[in-house]
Amino acid sequence: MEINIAKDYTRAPGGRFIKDGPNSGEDFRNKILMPKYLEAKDKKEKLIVNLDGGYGYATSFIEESFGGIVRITKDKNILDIIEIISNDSPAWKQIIAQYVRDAEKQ
Amino acid sequence: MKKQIGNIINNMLYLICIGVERMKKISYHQKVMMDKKSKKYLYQRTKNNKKNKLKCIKNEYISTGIIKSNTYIANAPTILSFFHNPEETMEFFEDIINDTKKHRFGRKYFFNLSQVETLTIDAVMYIIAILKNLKTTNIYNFRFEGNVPQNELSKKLLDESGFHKFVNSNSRNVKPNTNKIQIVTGKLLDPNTASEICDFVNEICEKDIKFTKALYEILIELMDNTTQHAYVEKEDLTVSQWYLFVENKDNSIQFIFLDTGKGIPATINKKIIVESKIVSTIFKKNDSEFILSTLNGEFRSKTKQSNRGKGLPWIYNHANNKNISNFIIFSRNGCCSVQENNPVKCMDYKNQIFGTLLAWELNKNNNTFKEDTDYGN
Repeated sequence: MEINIAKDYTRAPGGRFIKDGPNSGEDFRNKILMPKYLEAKDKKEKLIVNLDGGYGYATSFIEESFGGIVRITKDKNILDIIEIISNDSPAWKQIIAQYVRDAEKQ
Repeated sequence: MKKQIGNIINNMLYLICIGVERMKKISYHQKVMMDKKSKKYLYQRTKNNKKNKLKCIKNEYISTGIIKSNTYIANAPTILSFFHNPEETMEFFEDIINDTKKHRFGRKYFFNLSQVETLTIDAVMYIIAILKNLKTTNIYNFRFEGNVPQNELSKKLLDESGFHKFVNSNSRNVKPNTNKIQIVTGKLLDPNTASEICDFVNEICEKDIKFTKALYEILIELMDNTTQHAYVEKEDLTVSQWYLFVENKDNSIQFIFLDTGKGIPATINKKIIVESKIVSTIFKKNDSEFILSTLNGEFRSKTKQSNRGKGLPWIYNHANNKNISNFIIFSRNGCCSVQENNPVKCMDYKNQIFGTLLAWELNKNNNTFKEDTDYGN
């Protein structure tokens, strides 16, 4: 299973919450990431999330998307299910891993 | 003897009856008149007092020669620019804002720009911010008027900045210059504007979307800061809003961003008071030190969570990695700047700017942004 954020959601992601403006991390998580994650978890498949092809990301968008999954589902090790592809900016992989760890501690 | 006493008593009773009778007549007729007269008298007296008071105030203003009637004339300095003349420019704006705090109903503010010889976009943005963002404008029915610089270059800059879109102006509408993105503004995060700016830059530099990834992320982070990290309180002067301007120069593209929130030092001070319950004066820092601390990621200005507040440290990192150049940030009394090949320079001024003003340049000859940017971690 794969999500390409630029193709499946928007090339111009926004901020954290829906109230902050369009194309938010909360909106992306609610509409696309969470349903796909739950589906992948049920089917015991990998979910590939591709960050390439867009204009870029705010840290708050990324944190709310992936950290939000942890906060809502209370799942540990979501990155065993979600695989991140980010060839344009490889640093995002480590950052997302950090966000997930921080969210697990909360 | 008994007869005499009786007569006296009778007379007294008679007199009492007459008196009562008379009192009744007075209370019905004259009492009403007396009531009205007293209310009228009181009203008149109050009115006269008010009139006299206003007359005294007016006379005082006229005699000082500083303010006539209810108009404040703000004479702009010849160099109206935070970048080139910070102290005088801050003083000019601060005087206006301080006057608005006096809450004089119906006050008119006249921006006299006629003597301005050097004008930069940051000052134009700030004028717009005062016109549009003061919370008290509608409450106290403030009116803002002004004139344009006589200096041709300054006038041209004002015309091409997009200033006239924000005011009812007699000046003709100037077509947008293709070398500029005129001042845009918003209260929410606007990814569409950020992407349009990236397209503008990519077209100039003949690059693709990957070239402006870091730029897009900077713009989004700054807009996000405006919505997320400004404490919003009743006593705040301004509504939090962002302003952005982009200009294609010879070798670089300049960006100017203004956020009319509370400003970094005030936001951090609030955090110290709220979270550590220690009076901030014990740990008093200069405003520039607060700004530098924020750029280094030492304070999380609004929220407690470590995953937030990466915006400014991240941008500062790009400046240190030379992805962007001539980075400068003003907030309250402080200013920090990172110029090419020089260490960060911090300064504090006597006057202050309300909100946060940033500027930086993108070198057109940059082939790519350095990978693995720290993102403020």
